[in-house]
Amino acid sequence: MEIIKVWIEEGCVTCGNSEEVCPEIFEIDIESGTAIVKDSDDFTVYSEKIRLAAESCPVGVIKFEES
Amino acid sequence: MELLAPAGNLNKLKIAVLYGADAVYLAGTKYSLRGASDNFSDTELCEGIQFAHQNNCKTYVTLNAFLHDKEMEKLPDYVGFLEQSKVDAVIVSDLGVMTVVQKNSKLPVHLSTQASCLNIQSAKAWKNLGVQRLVLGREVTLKEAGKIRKATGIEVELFIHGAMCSAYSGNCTISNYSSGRDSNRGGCVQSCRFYYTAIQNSMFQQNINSGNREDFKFTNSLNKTSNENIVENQSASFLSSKDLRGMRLLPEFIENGVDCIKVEGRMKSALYAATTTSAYSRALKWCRLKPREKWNEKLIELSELLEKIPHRGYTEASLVKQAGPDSIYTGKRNVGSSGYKIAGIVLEVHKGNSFIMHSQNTFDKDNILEVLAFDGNVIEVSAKQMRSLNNTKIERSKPSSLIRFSWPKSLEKFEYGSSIPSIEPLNVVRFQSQI
Amino acid sequence: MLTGWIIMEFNTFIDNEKTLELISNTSIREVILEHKTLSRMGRLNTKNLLALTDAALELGFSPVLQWDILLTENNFEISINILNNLPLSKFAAIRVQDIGAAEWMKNERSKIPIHFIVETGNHNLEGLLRWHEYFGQQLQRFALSNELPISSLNNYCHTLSVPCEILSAGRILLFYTPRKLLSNYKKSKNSLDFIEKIVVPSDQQQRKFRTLENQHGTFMFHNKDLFLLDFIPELQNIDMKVMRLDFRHMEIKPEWIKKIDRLLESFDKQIVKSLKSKWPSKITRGFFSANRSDLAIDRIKNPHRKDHGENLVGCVVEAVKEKHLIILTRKSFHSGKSLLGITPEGRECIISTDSIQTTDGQPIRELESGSLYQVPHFKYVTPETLLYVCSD
Repeated sequence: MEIIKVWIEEGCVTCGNSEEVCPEIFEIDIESGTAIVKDSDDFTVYSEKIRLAAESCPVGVIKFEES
Repeated sequence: MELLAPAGNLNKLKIAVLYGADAVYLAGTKYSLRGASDNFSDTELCEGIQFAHQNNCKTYVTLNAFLHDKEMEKLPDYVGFLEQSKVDAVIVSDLGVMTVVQKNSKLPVHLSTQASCLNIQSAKAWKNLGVQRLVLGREVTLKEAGKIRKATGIEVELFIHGAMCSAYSGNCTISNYSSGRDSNRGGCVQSCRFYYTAIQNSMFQQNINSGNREDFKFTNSLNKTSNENIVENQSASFLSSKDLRGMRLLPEFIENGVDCIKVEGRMKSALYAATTTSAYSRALKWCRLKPREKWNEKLIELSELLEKIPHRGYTEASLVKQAGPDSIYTGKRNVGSSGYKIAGIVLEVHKGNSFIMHSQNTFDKDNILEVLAFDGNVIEVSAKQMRSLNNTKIERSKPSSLIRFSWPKSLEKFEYGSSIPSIEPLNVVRFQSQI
Repeated sequence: MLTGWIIMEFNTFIDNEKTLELISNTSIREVILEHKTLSRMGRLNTKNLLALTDAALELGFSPVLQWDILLTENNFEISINILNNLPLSKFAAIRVQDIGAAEWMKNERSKIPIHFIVETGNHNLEGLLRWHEYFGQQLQRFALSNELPISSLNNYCHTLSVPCEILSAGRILLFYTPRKLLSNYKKSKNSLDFIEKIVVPSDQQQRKFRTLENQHGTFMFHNKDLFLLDFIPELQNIDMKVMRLDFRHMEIKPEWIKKIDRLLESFDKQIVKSLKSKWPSKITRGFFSANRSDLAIDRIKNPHRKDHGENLVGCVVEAVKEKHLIILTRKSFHSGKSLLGITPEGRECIISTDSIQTTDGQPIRELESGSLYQVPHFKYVTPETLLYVCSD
């Protein structure tokens, strides 16, 4: 199963975990005080890392859709 | 009075035991507050307990995380294992964990300092709930500890040395919300050691002037959009506490009936373990054997020895009166150098002939090494005579290598075997580093 | 499944009669009053507290006294002096966090209900059940931790026979110390003084922690407020009894309190949405959806740490190329056995002990625990390589 869509729900505590696990897809936006998903044409390449980031998000706000 | 020393791993456990701890505390791989520490696998734990018991030293295992339900599921098995391993007590901070321990074993329970037990009534409640010993909160003075001891008859343990939370222990969740790591489940990122800048907010004044046009407003606080903050303080580590050193107050620990003095520091080095355990165990021994009027001078001398390990500046925190401005550490984020570093650990001794040290540092032949003997003596050894195991001369040591030294001349006048001082396996060796 | 929703209610803090009047025509009945000596955020002296209590009673409120400071023995005695001079029977309950305060209530004021603040160190059902067993009928409320996710709250609300409460909107306290960190103890003697500053970590400029100092010490709050009003239907569903509104650090217009109040009876997403947009600070739901703050901890541990079991007999402490490996034993064993070595990088190799010697080069058959021995050097093997007895 590969990941085709990634988003972050409300409630991010900007701990930096996602950025640390998968910097290709996630970054912390200091202004808005939340992690954001970078523009990407292809999430599938990073499926494994995205899944890890979502599973280890301390507040469980990283969501994704699989093919 | 018992001296309780930290044991971050098996090696440090042995060092603490041999330098005179009456008891050591250690953690398994789960359920404790030092996630980044080595900690003990089940096999190591059994080995550690066996070693400690052979040397008349007790072992307490920390189960002091504030556990969530899911993590409690496997706790009964672990408690059973600890009881079988002949652990002398467990240290808990949460009533749920304590209840599981009590349901599944007869292990004595010590209440962790994390539970912030600070007064007689609280001590009574915990006693009623089945706790055998209280590690009181760090905010309690020695006099208060004495009152609690007297009023409840329950054993009390107090920290006498080491790093401190500046918050009431267990009442800090900065890590949880800023790093997603539960400070009370081993994830503390030590936010109190960071540098901070304090800003005086100007919004309060603006709110008053603007009348009641907004639906909401903050009183004296940060507005979503305001950038008009005035920087007040330069960046500093003002949340950070100095390290505790209670050596000078040992007589008051004794007079107030404190049952156990505790040294913080499972994450600290072998040099720290050896230096602190040695100093406090000698202090206790001295006070046991000598008349009161001879105590103070010795305690000041032993207190000085504690300068020879890295620390954040020392404070007596709240032991005498509530911690004041001099208890805040404003120095560098990383602990300052004491001028001394660990050189290595003695692993093999051929009495009267030579000893082999496992080097943990870099030093050259001009350094004077100091072997810390178990009885408190410091034996100087010149690095000029360092040799490898193949008997070639060494100019400069490397970490993770073995160095052979011939037996120091200063020890030759002693008879081998019975007389002290002597160099023994697991002696810690330090050297004075050029600053 | 609307069984729970009618009985869920809000409670809130009051420190003046104006606020009391403001909420008098809402459904809020329980009001929390704070004495300056007994409460972390208290500003009222005994006289004002009593006047406000009477006013609250007159308007049909249930006044609850907050005694939430942590108490060293000396402070405990000071608190008791204040409490002994208060007509405690006027209060519907006393809210406490210090276990000693609860114990005092149990022994000295057994008729007055305890509302127990279990926001710190009570994240499991086992502990909460035990507290209930210990304090019995007198315990009439658990103010639960905002670190608990809804799955846990659900479990507790359905299992515990004590009504539960959570903070639904307001500041998240991160840090509480009795030390005076903002003024560094240079302040006037007025016990009502509150100093407030914003404290910014140098390497995390986005976090602007609101920090407050008063006579009880220093309190640091999250840069975002907890805001759970969007979850009212969910919380009603799980039978949460009380949602606490904390407006102590802001002013709020009367009609907004009414709008919030009406959410209990008829939940309106649009109202919540506009409320959120007007909230004076950033907001967060904290750990309400999930709490996995234990997971990142595993990543700071050394991944190679595991239980090496009974087969671990030693480790390499020195490796000199083309010469020797020095082994520090952890167990006694006979020479001649082959040892499995695992390097810190995870490489495996087999090391023979046929020609094992002491450090002086003497052949040896019985190896003792805690001693040094040498074998010929083996490619790749570095210090800290772990050695296991091979299972035959």
